[in-house]
Amino acid sequence: LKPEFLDPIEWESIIEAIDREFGQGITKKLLGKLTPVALIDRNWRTIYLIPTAWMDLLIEEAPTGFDYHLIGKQLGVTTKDSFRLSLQILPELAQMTTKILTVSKKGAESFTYGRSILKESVIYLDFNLQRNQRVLVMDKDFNCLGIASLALDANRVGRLQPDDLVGKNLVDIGWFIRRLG
Amino acid sequence: VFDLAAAPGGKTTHIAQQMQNSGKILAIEMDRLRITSLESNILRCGVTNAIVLRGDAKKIEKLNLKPDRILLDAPCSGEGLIPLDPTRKTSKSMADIRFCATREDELLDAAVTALAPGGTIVYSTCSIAPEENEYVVDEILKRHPDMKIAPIPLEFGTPGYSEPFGVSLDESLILTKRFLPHLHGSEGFFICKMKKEGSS
Repeated sequence: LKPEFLDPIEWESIIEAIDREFGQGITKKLLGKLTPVALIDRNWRTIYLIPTAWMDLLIEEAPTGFDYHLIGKQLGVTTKDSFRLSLQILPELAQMTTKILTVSKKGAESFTYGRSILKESVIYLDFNLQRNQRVLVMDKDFNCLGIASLALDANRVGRLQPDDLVGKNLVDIGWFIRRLG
Repeated sequence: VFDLAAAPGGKTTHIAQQMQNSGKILAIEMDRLRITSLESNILRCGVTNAIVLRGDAKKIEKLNLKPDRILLDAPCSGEGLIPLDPTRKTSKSMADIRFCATREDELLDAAVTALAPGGTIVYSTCSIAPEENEYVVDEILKRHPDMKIAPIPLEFGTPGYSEPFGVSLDESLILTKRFLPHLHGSEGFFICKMKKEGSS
């Protein structure tokens, strides 16, 4: 895999994708003093944030016989038409955004097994969030468990039955185990 | 910091924790499948100061870098794991130990060559065979007179052997540490810390 600096158009599209879901200026905060680079595989580009001081090392291709697989802080992955946030960046993102869904202990356990979130598990959800909004799923101790997509407007959650769907599981930290299973 | 033969990343992530995610760790691993678990552990533990390279650690001089610290937890025969996996007692032969010892010598030689003057290297194996431990280090000390064994400030463990099987090796090998299942209740393990003369 070869490291490559991002062109401004691609970086703008990533900023737009993250800020649209989690709030204006969030990507800038995540970036801080780091520089975005991509590791390119055939079908996707993994975006990393690296200290500027690393650029000298990474600007050249890896020496013969060596291949870069991971560099610094993983922001996410771009495929043909979408950008997916990395699980590694979520705890940091959780400190910056209000798009959060807090779940009970039982809900947290189910979610990390890949299940979606039912009404009975919801402890806190911002009243103003709309259907299809991406939210960070947090447990009661404010550990970030993954990302969910709201199945309905948040102001309608109160009318649901306990076993009705509130958030669809998009990605969760159980993936770290499942991917190697 | 270089971490050679880094997968599955337990030591890489611990080093990153000790460094508080500052500086830079180059984690090098050759096995494509094991790199997946290395990456996974680095991401899971929130390590942000690591670069993972797939390649043969015996060729690290091609990277043209002079690391201040190197950890080489070398691929070994795994003799020290017999208490956990008794099949290793019969599944490994002397030929396996010789094969591992040769590879360990090549890896350690490459690592010592790449190390910056004044730098520190830790060589470890989960084998208790002197052929994979003291003999390998002794050869390196002969080939690299600028390398000196440094004491390990641990009360735990026993000193390494300077005369295994009655063969006299470098006396400073008693500064290395051995952990033995029947004495320490741990896996069998060997650790040697060496410093390169000069100032970084």
